[in-house]
Amino acid sequence: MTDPLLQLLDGLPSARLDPSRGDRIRARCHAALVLGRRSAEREGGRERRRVIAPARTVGRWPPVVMGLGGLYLGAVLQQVLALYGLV
Amino acid sequence: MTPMDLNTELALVEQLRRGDEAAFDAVYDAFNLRLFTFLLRLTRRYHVAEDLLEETWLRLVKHAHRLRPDTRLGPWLFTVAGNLHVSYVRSRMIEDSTAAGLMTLWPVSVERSSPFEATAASELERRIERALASLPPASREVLLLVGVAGLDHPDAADVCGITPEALRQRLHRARAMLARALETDTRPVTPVLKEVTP
Repeated sequence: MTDPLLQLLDGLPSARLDPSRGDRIRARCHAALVLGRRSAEREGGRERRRVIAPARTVGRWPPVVMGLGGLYLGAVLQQVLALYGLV
Repeated sequence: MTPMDLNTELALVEQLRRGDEAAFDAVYDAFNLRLFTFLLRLTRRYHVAEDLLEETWLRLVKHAHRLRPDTRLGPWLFTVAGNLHVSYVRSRMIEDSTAAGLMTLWPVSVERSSPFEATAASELERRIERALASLPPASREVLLLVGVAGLDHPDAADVCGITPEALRQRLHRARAMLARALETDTRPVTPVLKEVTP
C-alpha cells in the first residue's frame, strides 16, 4: 500500500470486542457446528439406506410379479378355451 | 491483520465443511478483529457491530458444509458482514421513516460520533475517524476494505459486488472525498481516551 492516505487508514487502531461477547459467539458457533455435523451424519445414514433399499426391492420383486402375471394369463387362457369348448 | 496463505485457507475451508471446531477457531482468530473493526466503523454503534459480528459468524457455521472447496474466507466473511450491514441500514430506514414525525418533537440533536472518534489517541486519528464517519456508506466501505481490512482490489471488488475497475474508480472517489473531509475539518478537540471498549 503506497498511498499515504490509505497508509494512514492502515495505522488506525483496531476495535476491541468485549471478551465475554467473544466467548459467547465462539460457544454458539461451536454448538452450531456440532449440530450441523450430527444432522449431516443422520442425512448420510438416510441416504445410505435410500441407496440400499431400492436395490434389494429390484432383486426380490420382479420374479414374483412375473410368476403372478403368468398364473393370471394361464387362468385367462383356460377360461377362453373353456368358453369355446376346447377343453 | 493476520496474514493467511491460500493453502492454509483452503485446508481450513475443507475442515470447516466437515464441521471441525478447531478450524473454526483458527478462522475466528484470523478474522474476528478485522471483521469487528470493519463493522464498527461501518455502523458507528458498538452493540450493533457486535450483533452483526455474531450473525456473520453464525452464517459461516450454518453454511459451512455447503462452502465450495475453493471459497476465499476473507471475501466471504466481509461480503456477509457488508450484506448484514445493508439489511440493518434498510431496517433502520424503515424505522426512521415511521418515527420521523415523533423525532421532530425531540428537542436534542441526535448527531452521533463514531466510537473510535471519542477514543482516538491523537488529534490526527480523531480527524481521520471524523472524516471517515462523514463519508457515504459505499465510500466508507471501500476505504475500510482496502485501507483498514487490507483486502486486495479483486477481493474487495468481490465483497462490493462490482468489477475491479469499478472498485478502482470508487476507491479513487472515496479517497478524494476523505482528503476533502480532512482538509475542511476544523472541529475542536474532544477528550482523549486510550482504547475502544464497550
